[in-house]
Amino acid sequence: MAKNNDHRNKIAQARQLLSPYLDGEVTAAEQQLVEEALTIDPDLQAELESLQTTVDWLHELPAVVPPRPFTLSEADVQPKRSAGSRSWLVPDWLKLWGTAAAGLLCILAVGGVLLLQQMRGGMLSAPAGDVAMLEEAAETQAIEPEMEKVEEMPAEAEPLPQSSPVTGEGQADEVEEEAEESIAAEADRAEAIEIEPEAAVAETEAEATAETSQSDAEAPLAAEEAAEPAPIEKAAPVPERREAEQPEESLNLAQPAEEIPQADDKAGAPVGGTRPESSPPPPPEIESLAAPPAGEAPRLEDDSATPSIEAEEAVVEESREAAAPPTATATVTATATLSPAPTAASTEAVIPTEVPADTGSTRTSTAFIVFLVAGLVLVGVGAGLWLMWRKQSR
Amino acid sequence: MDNAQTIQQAQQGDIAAFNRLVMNYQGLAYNVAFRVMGQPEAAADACQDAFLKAYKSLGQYRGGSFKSWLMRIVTNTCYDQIRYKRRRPADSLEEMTENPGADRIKLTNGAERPEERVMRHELNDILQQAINQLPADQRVVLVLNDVQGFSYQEISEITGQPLGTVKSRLSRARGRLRDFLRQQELLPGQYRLKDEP
Repeated sequence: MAKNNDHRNKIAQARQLLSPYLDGEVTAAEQQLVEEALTIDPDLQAELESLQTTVDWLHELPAVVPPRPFTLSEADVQPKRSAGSRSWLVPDWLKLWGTAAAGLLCILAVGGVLLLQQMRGGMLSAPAGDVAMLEEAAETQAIEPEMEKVEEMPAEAEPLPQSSPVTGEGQADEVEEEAEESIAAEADRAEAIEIEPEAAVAETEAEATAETSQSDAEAPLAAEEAAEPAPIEKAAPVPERREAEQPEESLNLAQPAEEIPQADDKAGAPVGGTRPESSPPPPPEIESLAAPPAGEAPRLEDDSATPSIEAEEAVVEESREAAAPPTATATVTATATLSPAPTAASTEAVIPTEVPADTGSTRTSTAFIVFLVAGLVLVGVGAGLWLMWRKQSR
Repeated sequence: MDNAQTIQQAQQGDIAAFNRLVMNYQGLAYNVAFRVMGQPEAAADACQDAFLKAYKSLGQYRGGSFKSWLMRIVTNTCYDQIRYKRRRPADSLEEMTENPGADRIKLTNGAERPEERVMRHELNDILQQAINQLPADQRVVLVLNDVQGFSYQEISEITGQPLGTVKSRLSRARGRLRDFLRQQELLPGQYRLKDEP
């Protein structure tokens, strides 16, 4: 059995050596192995003979005559220009600069488009971020003082400003829409004051009541306010509301003079649209436009109130102009104004408006650097390709 | 004028000297190319390209067997042509059907009878078909050894492969060729009877 296996292995090895054995390219040991295997296995001998026949036939293959001489001429050894293409007409310097210019154009085109996109994105995203931050700040800072104030306030306390529920809502879109609506309403209202001042006061009172009822936390305060008999004091939210919806110039115009000391006295901190102590006093002409104190209430019914109403119309016009562009900045200002937070809060609300702008410019400059580097890489790649092409054409 | 001096002159840019080398080796180069490529026109193109490459590469020749150096260029050019034709099989269809170079094969024995000549002609065609069906690396080794008579060592230098690789490739090429010839019933009967039931 073992002997048979040994023979099989020997025959297999010899079969692999038949070809070099024919050529005499085997060692002595290999030659001995093949010859022993040939004596053992007659099939291996037949294979060797068939191989020998094949090799003999190959050796007898006739030589062929070359169809033509392959000698070279001067023209053959000259550097070839690619036939069909006229690239050799273009000077090398033009190819180089053309490649560089094409690369730069690509960079400028791509970079310009991306920069524009980046700038657009920065312009759109920064105010959105402002609004969100302002909303958060206003929400947190509006609720806390109000809650504190509600706790501290006696039952006969002055009503809170009407804008606080709106700020508590924190909806920038609503504020914006309301700003537009209120400006139009103010214009109508100013006209109506000339004709029917009492009706305007009643209308304003209804508005104030409706707005106050939006917040459950404010409901008792609104009820107290509704119980107040003085029509002028109830009408106080009207200029205040206008103030809230106007840009910065008119922030402190319409607040009733009596409310400032009241709020300061009772709550210790100004609430919702009340002008803080540290803020500068309004200019004389603006002070004349402010809502009259309680003692001067009958002036509304007199003819002497006409100049004041005209001035108020002018303010409404100004506020229209200021509020006309529905930009996000106007929205932010309105939101900040509506916030019942104290001065420190409004300062904090202004600061974030600059932060995203810086971030946008940083992004832009970063993008510019990235595009510059990418451009340099592209130019390098173009030059390399051109050099490779030049080498190949030679 | 000996070969070394001619090579030196050719290396200095003497085209006439190089053309003398071409005349010395063009028969060998064309025969190798013809057997490897299997088609005369393709072989002629490969030869022309190979001599042009050789002229441009003369500066890289550092001595040794000029014939082996030249054959290396020829076989590499054949490899390139085979790869090119493999990518474009339609180009070689006309050449395969016409085979115009077959008439140029020399008759080695002018004394043989017409029927023997026809039989030899047919055998040569079948052998060439058998060579053509081999893989390119085995084909080159088989042609260089069994057709052109290069030694294993020379083939190793030409192909740049180790001696063992040359041996195994040649062994496999011969085995495949034998099997092909068996299928064509060209081998003697005693060899064919073993495979028959």
